[in-house]
Amino acid sequence: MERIISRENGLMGTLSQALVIVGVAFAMVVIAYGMESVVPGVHDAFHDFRHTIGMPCH
Amino acid sequence: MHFQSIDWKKGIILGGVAGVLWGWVALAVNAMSGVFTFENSLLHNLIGFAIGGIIFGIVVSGFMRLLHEWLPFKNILLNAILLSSVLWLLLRIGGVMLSSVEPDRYHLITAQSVQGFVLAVIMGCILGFLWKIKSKEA
Repeated sequence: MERIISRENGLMGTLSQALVIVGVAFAMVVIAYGMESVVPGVHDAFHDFRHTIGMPCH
Repeated sequence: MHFQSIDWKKGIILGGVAGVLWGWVALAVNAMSGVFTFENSLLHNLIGFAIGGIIFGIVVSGFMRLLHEWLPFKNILLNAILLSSVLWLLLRIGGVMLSSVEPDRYHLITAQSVQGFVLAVIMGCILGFLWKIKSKEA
């Protein structure tokens, strides 16, 4: 039983880690492409950053 | 490689710290190179580059922790540079695709792309260096 709980904790830990990574990676994509439809204002807020790191912009 | 000695939370913090440093290095590099003329104020950019850097740093650091068993090099620094460059390349490929779909909205500029790739390598160096220091401490 302890082993099962330990496995579940391990699985939940790995899942939460993966979710954090996916969430932050999504934020990175939104910032990198300035997706206004996802987060209004993100285009202007990170405009200079986007150009500096070589991402496409208008 | 001592990847296991750096836990998940420390990895995120390291990624954040490396990201802030990298963001401000990127700001300085572009100010010196003049590849892009800044349109926002210095204060705005200090904050914006730091937040952007934190996000990028956490993603690279998170993938380093997640993929440590599959990374090809024994050296943490080289693995960090590889991951950071690959991540930047993936974003850039996405940018090429967006540009081909919406050419009026997305423009690709070669000088900025070259600078961006160099900055991605610098991110790998900063993060790899911090990981190395923390691994030795642990």
